Amino acid sequence: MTAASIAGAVGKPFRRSGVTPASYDRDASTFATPARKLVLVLGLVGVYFLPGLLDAQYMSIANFAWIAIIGAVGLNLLTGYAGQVSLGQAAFLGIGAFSAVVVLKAVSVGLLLGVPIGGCVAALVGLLIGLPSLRFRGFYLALTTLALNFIAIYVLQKYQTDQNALTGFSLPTQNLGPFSFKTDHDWYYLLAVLGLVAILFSNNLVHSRTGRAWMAVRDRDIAASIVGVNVTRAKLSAFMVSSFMAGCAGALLAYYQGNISVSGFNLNLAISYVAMIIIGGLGTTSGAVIGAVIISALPYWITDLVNALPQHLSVVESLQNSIYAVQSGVYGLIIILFLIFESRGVVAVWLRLKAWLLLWPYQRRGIMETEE
Amino acid sequence: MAAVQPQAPESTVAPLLDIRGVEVTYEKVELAIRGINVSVPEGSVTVVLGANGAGKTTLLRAIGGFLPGDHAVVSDGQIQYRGKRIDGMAPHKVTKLGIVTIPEKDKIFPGMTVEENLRVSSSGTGDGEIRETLNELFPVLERRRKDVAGYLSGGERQMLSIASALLCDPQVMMVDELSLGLAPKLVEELFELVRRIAAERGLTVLMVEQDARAALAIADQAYVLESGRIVLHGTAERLLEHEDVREFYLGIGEGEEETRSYADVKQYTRTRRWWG
Amino acid sequence: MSDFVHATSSALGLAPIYILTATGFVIVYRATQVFNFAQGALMMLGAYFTYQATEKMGLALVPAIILTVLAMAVVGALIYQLTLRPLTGHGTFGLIIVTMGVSILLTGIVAAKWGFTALALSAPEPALGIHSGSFNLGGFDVGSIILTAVVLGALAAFFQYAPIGIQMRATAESPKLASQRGISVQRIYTITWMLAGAAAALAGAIVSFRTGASPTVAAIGLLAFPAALIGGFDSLRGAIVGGLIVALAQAYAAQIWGTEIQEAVVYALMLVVLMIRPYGLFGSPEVLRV
Repeated sequence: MTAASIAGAVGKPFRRSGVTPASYDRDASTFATPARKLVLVLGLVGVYFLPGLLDAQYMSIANFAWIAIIGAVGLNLLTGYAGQVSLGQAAFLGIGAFSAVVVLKAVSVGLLLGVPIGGCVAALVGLLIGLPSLRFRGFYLALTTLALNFIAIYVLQKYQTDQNALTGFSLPTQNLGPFSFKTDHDWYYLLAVLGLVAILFSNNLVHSRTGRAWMAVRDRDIAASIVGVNVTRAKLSAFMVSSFMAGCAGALLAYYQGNISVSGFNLNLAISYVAMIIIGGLGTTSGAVIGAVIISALPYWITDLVNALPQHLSVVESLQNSIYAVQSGVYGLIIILFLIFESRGVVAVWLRLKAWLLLWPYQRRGIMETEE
Repeated sequence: MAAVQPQAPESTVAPLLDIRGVEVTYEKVELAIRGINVSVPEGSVTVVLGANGAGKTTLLRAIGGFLPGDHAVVSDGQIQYRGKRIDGMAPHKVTKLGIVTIPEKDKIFPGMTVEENLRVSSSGTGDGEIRETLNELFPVLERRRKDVAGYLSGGERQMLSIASALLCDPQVMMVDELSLGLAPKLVEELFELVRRIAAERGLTVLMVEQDARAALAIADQAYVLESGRIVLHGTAERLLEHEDVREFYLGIGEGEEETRSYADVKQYTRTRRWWG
Repeated sequence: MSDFVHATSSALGLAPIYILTATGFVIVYRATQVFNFAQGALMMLGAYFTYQATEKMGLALVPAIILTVLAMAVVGALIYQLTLRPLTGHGTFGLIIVTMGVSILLTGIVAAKWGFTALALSAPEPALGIHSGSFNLGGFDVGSIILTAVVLGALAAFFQYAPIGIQMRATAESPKLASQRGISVQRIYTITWMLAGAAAALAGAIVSFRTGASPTVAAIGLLAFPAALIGGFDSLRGAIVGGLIVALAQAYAAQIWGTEIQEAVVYALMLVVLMIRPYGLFGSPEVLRV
């Protein structure tokens, strides 16, 4: 006599708790429950006060993390919600960055124009890179996006060589009206605002008609088209939105770093964004955020960890000498371990905990561990 | 209402394949089989009848070791073969023990030739045995030996599936919906063929079927499965005369009253119970 | 004209690497529906093993290669058992990402142990070279062409006639039915990955003699993706044709337009082929049910 058979005989003794919207407005709203509103407020407060808690090194990590968040949230919309596998993130970031450079050279205007234009140019290219998605899916799509990614990077490379900027382009400090962005501290607030905008935008989009169309396409695009979803529009719009966000992130990266070179936009960068959304949790915005933070901070944590080991061991010394390789290795290992043990990411760990709490003292979890 | 009892006295020999109190659960919450007992004596033809969704294929999957792929487990009870427990065993090991399945879908390798299909099973046995089997049982296939299996007709595929199962040196043949998608005349022939092969080679047969008439024609004993439970069990003759079987599975109704539905028939209703 | 002849000869020297790597992809994909992103990294590891065997262990050319092949077969089996087998039943997306993770991990390990500079091998060149006018094929190049031809011929025969080869083809078509017919699917997958490791070992050995062993060797494997796609991801014949096409395209592009653009040209060619024949020249279409 097992728990399952008891449950089967008696009827379901448990009722699934959580958000069960009973009206369209409720379903479409981003912060449906009081709990979510509280999380929002706490989150904003936390973000505001964070700089006070961090030292200089972590401030720069935080800034890179915000930029990564924008890119990762965008990629999550494309791959997690619309189901289109894309390995082209590096190209979009690069295009955004280089557009910023071009705008600077052309009209000597920085942030204000550079970021949106970077986004738009990337979106147009995204439209192009998205065209194969109308014909392929899965791995074939991934490889075609990879191919276009390499072609786009070649174009950037050519531009850089033609401009005789062999070590890259440098960009001056940015000003926006009365604000001047010189230090990490200054940049933090700008990037945090933009990052939050990206997160809210993504959340909102997901609950809208476009978001639902994307999810329909992700699950069964043939069936979706039968139901009346314009599959072409859904796929291409997903590509455009996600590459717009990546383009903005790339432009911001260029301004923040102060210099930019095409060598930074390579396959490893594209893979790192995919790793962000997978480790965080594919298909959720919060997953993308968590993943972005983890992957951005990872190299530093590894270095800190290696430095914290007893210094006199020769093994430790050789690790320190090849710290870059160690970072690489650990990063690969983490991807593997996450996929083996929790393939739905950090977010799923939370969901499992929630399911365990809900069902205690019963032990069966199973399909309760899914969200929505 | 009492279940129909077997005509013959209870056998004192242990059944070859013994399914005792087995419960199968999908995804940890969905019961597909709710505690059944099926015993398959050696050398017999046992048939499990039931409508769609009754749990018949799940039963074969459970014996064959395919539950993990569907996120299912045998959550209670045991499946025993020659006294040894086999539930949870890997599929290829189950086959090596002698329990071979002729599946419902995916019964052949469509991209490979007939000959290659047969070689897959018989790796070890030589050309000669293949030729012998084909010549004796399926001359049609012998003629089409070099043809790609994907181009065979439905009936020929079924024959190829049976032949390749035979080449695995089986002791028990589990047949899943043999009649599916085949013309009635061919169905009759195939069932008779299965019975004959089993008798000649001393095989035990466990069949899962929707076509009750064809199945009961060759069966020694039969079980009726409904929503994961056994509701009837007996020899083929007794079941053929049972009024509910006649009405719901054989389509031979009395014709006087209005057509009844399952819910009206007393033994198909289940009182709510507060224990397992 | 002599430029083209020269380019052709350099393409022929490069082709075996792509063909062998593409063969590795095809073997794994046909059997398991998994795209092995780690094939390039395996080739890199093969290059380093060859280096160790010849430089550190002092073996001659042929024994070194044999040892590398055996070692890499073990590595392939290990990768399957440790990372892919636990993920049986997961969607293909996850499986692909895991192989990406393996690739990154291997690159990190290799760089940590041997550093980032290329290591050169000093084994003597076999006297097989063909030099006629501007057609220049070194001894190693000719040797690798012969090796590749022999290996691929053996593989084709293996899959066609050998009992295990037939079992592998059967498992590739329908793992469920294969296990019902007594085939241990896990065993077949392990053998598949061992073969992929062996193919990577050969490719790596060739690379190590051409350009030495370095972490960037893994990137050469990237161009084998277009090779396999152009040929058709589930066809051995396609791997040969695709590898040749990519090598030729790369060499000609480099000759005409310079080395910067050669990769972009290969990818552009791949896109063109995919538009005309979505499953490659010899590949078979997937069946998608709604």
